[in-house]
Amino acid sequence: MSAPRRAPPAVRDTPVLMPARSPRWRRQSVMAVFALLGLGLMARAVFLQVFDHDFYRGQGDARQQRTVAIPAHRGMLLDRHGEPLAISTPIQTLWGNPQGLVEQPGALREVAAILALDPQELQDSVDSAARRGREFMYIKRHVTPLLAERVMSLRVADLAVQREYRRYYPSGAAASHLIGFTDIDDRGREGLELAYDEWLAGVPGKRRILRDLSGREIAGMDILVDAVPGRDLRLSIDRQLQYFAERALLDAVAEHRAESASVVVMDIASGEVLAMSNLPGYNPNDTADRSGGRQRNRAVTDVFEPGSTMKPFTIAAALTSGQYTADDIVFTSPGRYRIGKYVISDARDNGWLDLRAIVTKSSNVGVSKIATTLEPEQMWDVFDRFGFGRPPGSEFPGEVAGYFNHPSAWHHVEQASVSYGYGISVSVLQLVHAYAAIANDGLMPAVSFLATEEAEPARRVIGAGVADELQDMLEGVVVDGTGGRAAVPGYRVAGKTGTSHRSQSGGYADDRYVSVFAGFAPVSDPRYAMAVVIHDPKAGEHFGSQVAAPVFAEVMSHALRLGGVAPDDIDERLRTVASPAKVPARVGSDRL
Amino acid sequence: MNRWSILSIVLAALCACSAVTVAWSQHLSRAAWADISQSRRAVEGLAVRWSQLQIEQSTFSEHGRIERAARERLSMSHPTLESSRLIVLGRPAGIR
Repeated sequence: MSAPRRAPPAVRDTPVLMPARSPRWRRQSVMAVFALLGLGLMARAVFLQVFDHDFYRGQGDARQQRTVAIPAHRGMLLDRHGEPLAISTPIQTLWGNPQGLVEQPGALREVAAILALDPQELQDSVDSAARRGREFMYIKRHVTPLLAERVMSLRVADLAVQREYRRYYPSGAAASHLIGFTDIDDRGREGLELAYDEWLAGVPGKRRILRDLSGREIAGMDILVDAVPGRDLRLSIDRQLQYFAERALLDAVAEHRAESASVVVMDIASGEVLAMSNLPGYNPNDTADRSGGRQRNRAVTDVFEPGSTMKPFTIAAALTSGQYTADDIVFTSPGRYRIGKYVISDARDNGWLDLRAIVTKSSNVGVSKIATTLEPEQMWDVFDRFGFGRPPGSEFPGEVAGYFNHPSAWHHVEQASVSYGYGISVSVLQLVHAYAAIANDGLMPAVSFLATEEAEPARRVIGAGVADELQDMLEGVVVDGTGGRAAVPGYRVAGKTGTSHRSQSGGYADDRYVSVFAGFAPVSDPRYAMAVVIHDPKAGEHFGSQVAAPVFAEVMSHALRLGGVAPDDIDERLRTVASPAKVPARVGSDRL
Repeated sequence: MNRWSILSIVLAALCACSAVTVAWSQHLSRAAWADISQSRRAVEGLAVRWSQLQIEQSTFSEHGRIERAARERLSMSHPTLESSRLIVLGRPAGIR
């Protein structure tokens, strides 16, 4: 009877395995745990898909996409006539992902063979880059497009090319100091390349690319920012004149076994530097050639004691002071002048000299006697106006101001020594700039390394009358004074020689000299000023009149010829006066 | 057929059309990309050539080279003062 109430015997036999009734809370809690797990998964999915979407998308792209730079073309440097002085030419750079390359030793050997690299070295550098976890390394920078194509035709995975630019200087060493050079990334490092880097450089762009598993570019995606090419820059330099200046210096340095030399030619009206050459030089196309002092633009960054080439400025101060006229005479006998314990001496006893003769015969005694009668402030002011002790404002990197004390710091002999160019240091650029002011009737132009359409207004430094008298005295130096070898046939030339002892620690060297010549031409209507400085000539001759003046004559003759300047000192028989009506309106050269 | 089913059919057709045009425009964009890449390569090639020509030209026109050729091959020389004549227009000024 009670059978229906009983459980079946099978059930009864297994009461431990399956209890007829488990507690309710147990089932429910298991359900809840599973539900929570499911919810957790769903929430995670939602977070991944919705909230973290951008992050993971970005991560994915980062593994496939790359943003690569589009290099910008650097502007050319041109000479004043538009001839190229520096050109950037496209070139390829090979780079790779060491993580992938490390597993392809065979391919690396082939690449090394084409690029003429040492295969073992290449393998080693790839290995070490891979060990350090790098994903980028240069295989070889700056290879010719042809070579790059040969390498790429091997179709090595994880190897890519990138376009870059290499700077090329067609004039070689001729204008190297002035132009300077760029580094391997085509950024200006020296000279005008550095000074005008921002103008020349342009702005690199950005491009996004898609890559496949082996790192090859499959499709260009889009240009994010296009590259803006740099702008060209026209310099004041005349390439031909630069060549002549360089060659004349090379000859002079070889002939006199000199240590270094500089020459600067300037247009006196516009202040444009037409040629600037220094020795020793370097070839800017050869990175190995840029060592030590070879790359310094000495004409702008180095100073020297100008010696007698300062005398015209002392005379300018004397004439400006109103205490002297050009005809005043000074007693220079016996060729020695004692100031305290210092003795200033001349090469010979010149007796009575007028101001003109003091300049043409280059009398230290005469000019010192004049200087010591001048107000120190007034003399300083005239020198200061000529730019001594001030940077010339050329924007050239590293230009120097020279060294010229204010009178408050002068000791008693300094006023005399400055008058003939000791105790004052100038750069060649400052010297030529000051002579340009004399040649330009007392108006000092602003120095420029760029071709100028309209010159900045010149600054008056001395009266036109004083400048005129100085021009006449300086012509006398060449006609019947110490500067005879600076004469250029057919032209009236003016200038001043200078020879100074080189200063060294503890005083002046007895047997080491600086030979200087500074001047301008043609005197009837001056066009070009020029200074030549030759350091430490060791072949016997050392006077400015012997060493520097012939270089001046050589370079100036080319400047006048290239500039189409009419000779102003020729035989009557060589001249024909033509009626303007019968001659075409434009005759002659446009050069310079 | 009621209004709604007609609308659905039209929408479905439009949708299919749009899908095809998407594919088509994708294709056009790829083709245009190929074109632009090719043009870029051409530009690059021309730029290389242009800079090579400029360098070549300035190397050939280098003054020392011209002067050597003039002196040695053509036996030319700078005119001397004696071999020159100065022709002045009208009254000469500043000449002594």
